[in-house]
Amino acid sequence: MNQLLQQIVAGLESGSSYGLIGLAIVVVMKATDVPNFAMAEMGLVVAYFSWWLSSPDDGLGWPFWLSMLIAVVAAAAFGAASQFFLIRPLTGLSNQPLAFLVAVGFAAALAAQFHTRGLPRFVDWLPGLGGGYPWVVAVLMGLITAPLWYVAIRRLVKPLARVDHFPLLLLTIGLTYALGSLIENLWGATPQRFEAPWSGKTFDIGDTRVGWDQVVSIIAGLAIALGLAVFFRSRWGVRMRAIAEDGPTARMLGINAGAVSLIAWAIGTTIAGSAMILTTSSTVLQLGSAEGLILKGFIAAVLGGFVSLPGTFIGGIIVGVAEALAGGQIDTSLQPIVALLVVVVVLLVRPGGLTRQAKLREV
Amino acid sequence: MTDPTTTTTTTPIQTPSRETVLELRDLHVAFGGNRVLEGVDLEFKAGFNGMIGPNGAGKTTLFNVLSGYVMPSRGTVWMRGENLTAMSQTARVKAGLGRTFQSPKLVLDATVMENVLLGRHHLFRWGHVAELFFWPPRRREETASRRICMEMLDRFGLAAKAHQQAGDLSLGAQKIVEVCRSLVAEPSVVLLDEPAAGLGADDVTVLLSGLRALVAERQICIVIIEHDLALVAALCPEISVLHFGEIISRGTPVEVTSDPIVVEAYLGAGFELGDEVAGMDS
Amino acid sequence: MSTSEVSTPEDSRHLYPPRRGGWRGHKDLVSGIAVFGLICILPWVPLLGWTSIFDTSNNYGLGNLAFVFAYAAAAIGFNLLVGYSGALGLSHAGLFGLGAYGTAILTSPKECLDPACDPIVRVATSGYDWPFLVALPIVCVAAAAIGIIVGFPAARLKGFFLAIATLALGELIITIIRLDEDVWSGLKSNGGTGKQVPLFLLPGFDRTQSAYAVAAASMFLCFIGYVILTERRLGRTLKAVRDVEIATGPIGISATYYKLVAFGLSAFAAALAGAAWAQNSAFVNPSAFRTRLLVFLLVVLIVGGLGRLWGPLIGAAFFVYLRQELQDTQKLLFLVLGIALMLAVLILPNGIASIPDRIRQTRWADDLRRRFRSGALNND
Repeated sequence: MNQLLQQIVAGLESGSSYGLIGLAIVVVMKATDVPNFAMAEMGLVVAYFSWWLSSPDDGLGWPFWLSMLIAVVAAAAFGAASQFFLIRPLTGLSNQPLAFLVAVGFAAALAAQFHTRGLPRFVDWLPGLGGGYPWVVAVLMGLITAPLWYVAIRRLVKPLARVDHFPLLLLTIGLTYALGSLIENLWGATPQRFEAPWSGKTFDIGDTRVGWDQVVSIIAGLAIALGLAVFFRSRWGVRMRAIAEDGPTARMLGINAGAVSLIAWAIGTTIAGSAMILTTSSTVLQLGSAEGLILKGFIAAVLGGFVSLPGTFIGGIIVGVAEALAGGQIDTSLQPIVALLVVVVVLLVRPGGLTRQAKLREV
Repeated sequence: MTDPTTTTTTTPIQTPSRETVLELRDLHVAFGGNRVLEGVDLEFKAGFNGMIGPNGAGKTTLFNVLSGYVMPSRGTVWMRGENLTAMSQTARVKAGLGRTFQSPKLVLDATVMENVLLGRHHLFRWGHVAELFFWPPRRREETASRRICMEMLDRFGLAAKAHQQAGDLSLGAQKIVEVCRSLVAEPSVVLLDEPAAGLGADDVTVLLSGLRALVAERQICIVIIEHDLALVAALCPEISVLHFGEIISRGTPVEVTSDPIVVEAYLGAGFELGDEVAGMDS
Repeated sequence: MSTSEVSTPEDSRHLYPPRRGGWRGHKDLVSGIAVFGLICILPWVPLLGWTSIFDTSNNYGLGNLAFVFAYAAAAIGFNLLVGYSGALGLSHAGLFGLGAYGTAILTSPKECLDPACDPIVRVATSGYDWPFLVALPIVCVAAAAIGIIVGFPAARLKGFFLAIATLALGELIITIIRLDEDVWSGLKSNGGTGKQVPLFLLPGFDRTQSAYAVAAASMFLCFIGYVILTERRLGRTLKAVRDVEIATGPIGISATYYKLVAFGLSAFAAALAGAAWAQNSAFVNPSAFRTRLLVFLLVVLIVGGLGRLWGPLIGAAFFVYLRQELQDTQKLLFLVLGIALMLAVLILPNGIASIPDRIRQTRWADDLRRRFRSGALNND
């Protein structure tokens, strides 16, 4: 019996993080119509940042609560920046920020490349070239290419009238890998211990040992989900819903779609960041932490039909608990399959997710 | 603006045999609590049949029921003695039913010919494995179908555009291509949903003359939803008026337009058929 | 506009789109023959020797090219599914793995019962000992059947939901493979490298050349099949299902049927490619076929060009080249892949293969054309 309770608690904890990632995905999807595959990875960046701020050995060693606060604010900024630089060019607004970012980024990357490795292999046969160059030369070479990138992006990135989900999905998949690389470059590949005030401490309910981190995760998850529900009743939340329903009309009514998008991404990244902080402080902080979560997050979102916030969070909980119970009660090898089976079965039975969505077909 | 002078008078052509091809019996359609069609009894005969009514009256829903998108909550649909009500969409096509849509549904990055060829799909005997191996009868079948499609396009003056991208055509031309697609399937009944909407006068002339020729040759039953009353009056010997899901009148154009119920509900007092030519709007 | 056009005379109406005379009218055929001819002679004439990665005078280059062909074959199937039918079927990686694993298991020699056999090696190599040419079609057909099953949700799901469902099903396939007791214990005790792949040797060739030939043949097969099917009725029907699905009912086209056909065909290609890939790798490990592989395939397809004829091959060459070039810095590889994917979406949504077309459509090219042509521009 105590095993059952333990499994349920574990399931609630993991389900809570699935639900939170799912919520982040749905918020961004509803407001900006972008399926953000990089959501968990972005959260991981935030988690790493928070860890770095608070780690006494490898980082700044600041107090945990302070670093969490800063990380959350940084998450919002990070999310808004991603939307601003990457997504806006596609949806018709200016691609200038992107051009600038790419120019600077590529120039820097090329400079580093020239410094360490010289020109790429297939140009090796050019006489006299090859091998690394001193920093000054490398930076100059990089800078020379900068205007090229700028103009290229300005010219070539065409705003699309209607951006399909598939290209956006690909874009965010690319972003996921780029971010993973960024994390590795900034903080290394070794798994880290992320210490929170509640890590490692447990208490007993009867025979069951329950970790405080599990309780915190569950409660925080619920709190965030409820907070989100409250937010959507506020002025900005209503605006977000309006944009999601009917963008052009909402814009005509004076709702600032750009601001709404930024806020949505900021909120989404904050939620994902919190989820990742909770998860990694409870288990381990490593590069692969986000990989499994993003799919589960999408599964939770799918269960909520990509529309309903409560449906998403509850969906996540269901998956988490089902996983834990199947793994514990039946067989551990079943655990990876459960989430996959759940989503397939649910979609077969209810193609629109768990929540009912009345859709009139237009012919 | 339509030019009814393609016929010499406003009384439409009387096709000799007007047998009933499509029959709707006591059709009821409801979406949740919203009752869209109530107790619709209709007979569509060979030749042209008009369906008019204000927007939201349920005309397109009627077409949706006929072509199998929507299940009626009550009532049946009969075509030449066959009960269509429970049939799948593909079965209806094989039985001889075709339709077009208010906004044309064409594959924009395929050619006009390829789009029209889609209509022949259910008539092909040889499957895809045959075409993988360059099977000669398959090739012959393809050429024969293309010839039929080309002839159909020719009826509507689009033969020269057969190999252009469908996306490059104007909306009017696209709508006519869709009509061609539905006609090459050798249907007994074709449902045209506002075929003339958005077409220039010249296109409408071409469309109507092509349709008239076809009806004279093949005795197809054509049901047209339209808002352009003059066009419908010039074309259809029988018109039905749908108003909030109910048929409020049926008969010849003269009968319908002078029916006080129709005048009250749809046309407005002071409506005259003759004046329609000048400045009507839907 | 059609206006008052009279019927055009019989002889100027072409039932098939008119082609320009000579070899220019058959561009695709000519380029196809050229490319495949090149591929056939490469092992003996290392024309690409100037790039050390594709230098076919050594096994390294041959092996890399074999990988290129395997990925290209998989991408062709993917192209059919996503590009032509518009169905976001992301189970491709799982089916690729099925092909690789299936052929490996079926063709491995029976369990070595000689007591002198190392038990670890025994399990890793145990199988059913079928000949390769028998196992291959069977595995591919089985994969096609599974692909069709995976495609069933496609009947009711659209767009994103379909993507998630098929992604889950693809993962499911791999997870089920991992559960196989024999395989699993083989994996665990074999230092995690996985199941050993018995190599199919063509007479007269050594192992790398054989792998090259098998990969090239797979790609060739997929390519031919793709070209023929998409030029004909299947192609236009799939496009109709993709673009105007709601209108396919009244035309008499069963959208569900054709989606399943697309799923089945692409699964066949995926398995074929997987088998070819396995021939080029010493071992197959189920973990290699998970989401990471799917992302690789996506990069190959998208960067190369979705819906384009040569997209898969170009994308595969790009990917393998990158992977080898950046072999020593794994993290850089993923960074570049990520950026490549992002750039592909932002700048070249139709991939590298669309560059000639893009250039052709620019104003600059238009001006050039104008200058070389007398008379008015061809307006419609």
